[in-house]
Amino acid sequence: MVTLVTLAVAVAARPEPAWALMTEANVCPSWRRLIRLATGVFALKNASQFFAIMEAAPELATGLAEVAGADEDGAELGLELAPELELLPLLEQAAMPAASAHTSRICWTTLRAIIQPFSNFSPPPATQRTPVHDTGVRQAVASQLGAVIQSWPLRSWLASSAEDDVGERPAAAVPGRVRTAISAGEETQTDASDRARPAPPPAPPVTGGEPDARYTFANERTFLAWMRTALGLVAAGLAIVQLLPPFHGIRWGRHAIGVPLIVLGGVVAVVSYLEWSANQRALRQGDPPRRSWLPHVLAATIALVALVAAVMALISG
Amino acid sequence: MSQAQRSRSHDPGLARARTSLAWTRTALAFAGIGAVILRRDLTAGLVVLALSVLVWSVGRLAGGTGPVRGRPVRLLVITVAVTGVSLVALGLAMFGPQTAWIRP
Repeated sequence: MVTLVTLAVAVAARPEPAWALMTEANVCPSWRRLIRLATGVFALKNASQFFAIMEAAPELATGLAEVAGADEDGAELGLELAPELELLPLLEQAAMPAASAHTSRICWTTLRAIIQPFSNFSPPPATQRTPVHDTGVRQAVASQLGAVIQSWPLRSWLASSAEDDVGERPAAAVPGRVRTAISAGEETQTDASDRARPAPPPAPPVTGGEPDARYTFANERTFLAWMRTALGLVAAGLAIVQLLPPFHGIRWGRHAIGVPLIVLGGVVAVVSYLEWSANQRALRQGDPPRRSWLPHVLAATIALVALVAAVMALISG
Repeated sequence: MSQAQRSRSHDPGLARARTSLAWTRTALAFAGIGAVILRRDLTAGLVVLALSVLVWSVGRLAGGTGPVRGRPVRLLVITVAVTGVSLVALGLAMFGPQTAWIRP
């Protein structure tokens, strides 16, 4: 019985026209707003509000003036309030660093955390990264608010703002050393980085341009050392073939030792030039140098030649 | 700026000086192998000795005060020279006076 009554009331209470109106209002509010704008309803509303404010403003001003003038203590109160009102926009909360400063710091620390395992590239120190206007605002706040803000430890404020950065970043993506350094404040972060990486070697430029002259010269010296090695191999092979007394019973003995050394000298010359070119390109682009397979070839060939020489020396006796 | 500071900024880590010495060693290596070849073949030996002079002059240019420029050409010259020397030595080894095993 109760169920039947409830159903009947529910059927009767289902307001089809109201449901349709709500749907229409929800589906196309902008269309209705456009219609109001086209028919001038908004203009009328704004104009009426503007005139109402204009009418009310002089009354409010005169009312405030009457209140201030009626009471002598009120005038003193107004004078006392005036400096605070001037100081109000320069409060510390109003002068918090902009979002760009946080973003740049996050970018540098994240970049450092990503790059550090792979290279010696180090971003500029944190003191140079602080935006100029940010520092100016902080100094202005400290000077305007006088002894109150100057007795405040500015360092703790920096630390608290840096801790907000830690909260915004996923903790697993940052090494522990950098994370603790950030939570200890910006100055401490720089100190910790310098302490953990003592005397960082000068890094080559990352992209484009000519690399540091020292790296270019070092690469060239490596190439020249390979050239001397090649020349030494050629000289040794030629001396073995031309100057060494022949092995007894083995007519091709000297050539079996000397010719591989001469061929290896030529191969070393060509490959070392290719490696110098590749290393110079890697320096220019900031990539790590390629792993050279030339030492392996050199060691294997010399070991093989030595083995053959030993065997022939034993055979020829 | 004092003389020491100027030289330090011009030659950080004495990289230019060390590179110049490396060029000198390479030229000496050329001269040494040229002397070895000269004992067997006069023409080839003279060519390699001339190459050693070329390497020495190129090294003087590389260690100068000029900018770091034009090195690929110089190093390519050295590469071609060393490869040529190795080919000459290979020819001497295969067809030189001591190759009775090929020309009985």
